[in-house]
Amino acid sequence: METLTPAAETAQAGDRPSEDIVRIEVVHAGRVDAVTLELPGGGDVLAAARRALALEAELLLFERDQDEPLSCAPPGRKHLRLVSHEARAVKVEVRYDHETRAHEFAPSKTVFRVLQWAVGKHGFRLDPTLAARANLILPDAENPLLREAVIGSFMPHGKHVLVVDLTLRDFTNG
Amino acid sequence: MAEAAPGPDARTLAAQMDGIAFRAGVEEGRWSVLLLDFPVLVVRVVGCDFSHTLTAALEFRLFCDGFPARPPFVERWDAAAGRRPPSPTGAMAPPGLVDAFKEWHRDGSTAEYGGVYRAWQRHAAVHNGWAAKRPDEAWRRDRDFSFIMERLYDLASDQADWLAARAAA
Repeated sequence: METLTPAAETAQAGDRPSEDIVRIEVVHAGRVDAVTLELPGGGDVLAAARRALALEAELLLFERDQDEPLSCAPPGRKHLRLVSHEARAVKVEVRYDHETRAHEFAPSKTVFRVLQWAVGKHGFRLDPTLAARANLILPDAENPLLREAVIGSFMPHGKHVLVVDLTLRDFTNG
Repeated sequence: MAEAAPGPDARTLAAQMDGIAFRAGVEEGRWSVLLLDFPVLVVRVVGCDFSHTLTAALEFRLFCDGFPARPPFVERWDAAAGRRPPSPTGAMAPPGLVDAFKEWHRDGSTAEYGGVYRAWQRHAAVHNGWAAKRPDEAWRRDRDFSFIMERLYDLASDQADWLAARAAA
């Protein structure tokens, strides 16, 4: 994991007690690894993060697993997991049993949330016994996607559609 | 007599519990620490259904000796009663949780409970070589402790989803 410590922010952060520091992880579009930041609290933390990351103005910052991009840092928070992406929503196409269902998600949503949708009443309405065996897997991959990964990790800039297979392949330990 | 200095397993766990992912999970309300008396850690995890309308809380007791080389031993726990609750039936939880919380004995034992039956859990990982079959679910020493917490959060969210579906039926 890369740690980014912007010089100007660090000078301020270094003078402050640790409780005034906001620590942030940021996952960029198309990347699985996170960049970490330590920034002084109190000011506009989100703007400071954007400066530290040299984010282009059109890039959005989401809190992990949330639907809407942030316009400011959630109040009172000292630790944040963020996702940067150019799109407010991306399309996920899930293939299962000769059918494809699609839904738009924020790129900050986790694979687990997509799986919840895919097995649920808005997706393929799987019986709970089958749902317990379900995983999402990239086409031609050998192992299921990590459930805590955010879907933006698999969608670099310019890519707004993710195709995954819902598999019931027995990954259980019978 | 002075207390013994924390060992490397206790220090590693403490450092990872002070990491961004774990602390953010606390601030987001996904999990909370009820007790930390190394190697014992008791946590409450609050999952939610897909539409974020219903939550379900589960408590777990973890034994983290040997961390991170050894994955934690994890069992469901009732912190108020101070004991492991009975395994759920199909009328109380979805099939995935019934399987995860079933009574089973660890390899080489005829009496010792094996813990949460999932590939990331200490004794389940070696049962029939499960960890090797599911590298995406298996604990590795280069993973962060929040990986375990996310797996517990998934279980609580599965319970919330199941409860929401029953309520809507």
